[in-house]
Amino acid sequence: MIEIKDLSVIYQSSDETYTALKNIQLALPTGGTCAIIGPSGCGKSTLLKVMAGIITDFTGTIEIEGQAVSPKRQKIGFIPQNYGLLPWKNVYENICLGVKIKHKHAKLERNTVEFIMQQLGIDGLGNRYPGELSGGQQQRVSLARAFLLKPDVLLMDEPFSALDAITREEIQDLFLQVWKKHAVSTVLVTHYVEEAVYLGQKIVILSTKPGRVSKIIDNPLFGEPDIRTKREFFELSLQLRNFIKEDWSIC
Amino acid sequence: MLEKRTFLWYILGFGIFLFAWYFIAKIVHLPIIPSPFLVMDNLGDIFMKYIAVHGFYSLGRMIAGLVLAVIVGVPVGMSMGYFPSLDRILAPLVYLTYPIPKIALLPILMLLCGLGEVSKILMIFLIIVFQVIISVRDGVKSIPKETYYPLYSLGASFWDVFREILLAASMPKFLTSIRVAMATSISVLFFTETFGTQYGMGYFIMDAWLRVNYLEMYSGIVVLSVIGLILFGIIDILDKKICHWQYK
Repeated sequence: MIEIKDLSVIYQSSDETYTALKNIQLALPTGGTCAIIGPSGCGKSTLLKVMAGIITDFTGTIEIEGQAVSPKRQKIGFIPQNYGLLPWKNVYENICLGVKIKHKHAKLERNTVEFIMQQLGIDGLGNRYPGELSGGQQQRVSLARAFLLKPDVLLMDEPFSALDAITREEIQDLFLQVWKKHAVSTVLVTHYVEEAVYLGQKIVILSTKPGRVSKIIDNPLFGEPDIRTKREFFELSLQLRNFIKEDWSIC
Repeated sequence: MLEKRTFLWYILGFGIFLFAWYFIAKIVHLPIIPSPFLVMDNLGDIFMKYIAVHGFYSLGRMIAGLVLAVIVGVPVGMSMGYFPSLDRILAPLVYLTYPIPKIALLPILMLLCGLGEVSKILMIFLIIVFQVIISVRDGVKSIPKETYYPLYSLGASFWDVFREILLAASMPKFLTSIRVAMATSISVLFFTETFGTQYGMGYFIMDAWLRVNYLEMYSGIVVLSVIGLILFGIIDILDKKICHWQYK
């Protein structure tokens, strides 16, 4: 269980204070996925960074399995928008980096790494460098890194938004497929309604100025096969879209 | 294949250079511009006997200054790039001292540290260190914030961040700065070696000049140039080896 209570984040600059997030309450079951949708500047990324332990200046509590969030204590996988691959490390080294940082002395079995690479369809790319890969391949590498780590929670900041439409759907499918095998609690931030409906067991809608939770939906369609082509998928997406339009235009 | 072709172009370049030198020597026809072949001949005769020891002195000073500049410049530049508060304090200091022509400080250095090795090495150090500080700092500053996040979220220590990110990210700019500073520092080395020493290529060249032995003088110039070329080449090879990821 990931539990967020009364979370507020206030940025203090020299002459003004800016409330990025106000009074966020959220409970996410272990082993589920949660998609957060919000307009730009609503503090989605801030929320994710707080959960990742990158931003520590906040009020309220965030607990994972009853323990306050701390990068030292928990295993937190974070995939930033640009995938966070290090251009000076080849694919193999990039994938192992997470484990290398978290478990200093653990010996990584080459087989384990190669198995994950196979699952994500990047076997054979181990010696390439990120600069030689397409956006989709880079995303696969960052997912491989995250899944190899077996994190307590996986946080993704608009993970698929830089990909073209076809590749995006492909990777979304792949993500779900691999996610099902590893059952990692996942929180992803997005601004595509369809992505949220496709990937989120729970869908959280944030509104802006200041960032608040305006709606939480338990997604009835999650995990059903081929939902992208079903009528319910379009209906739910449309419904959400209409809600969002109204919600965001108020602020 | 490509490497071989590049190599051939360099050979060609060298040939053109030699020809131009030879051509000018023929036209001018003065002892002050001897033919390159006479110089090569002379170099072959006296290199081991006289020049090598001077060459090693110069190379030694160069490397000592360089190593010192790296030892000081890299940590300072890296800390300035990584910790904005430190940058705020040190940046004005670096910016104000950077444009001072370091060579103008040579008299002061010689008064403070004597005419010996220390002032010469310090001079080279001063030329290189600022370039290193500034480029390493900028290299670290240009790393996107997101690059750190996956490491931070895993509770990475500063040492982890240093090893996995800072070192590699600043390496290309660091090597470029050394490459740029090297040319200046060889000129400065030449100048410092005309004072208070009887060893070094600077001394050798000026001494030959005073003795009106132009062949020896040219031999010295060739050796000093080759020293520069070798250092330059080493940096290039390092760049290709360590930073090969950026040529992908």
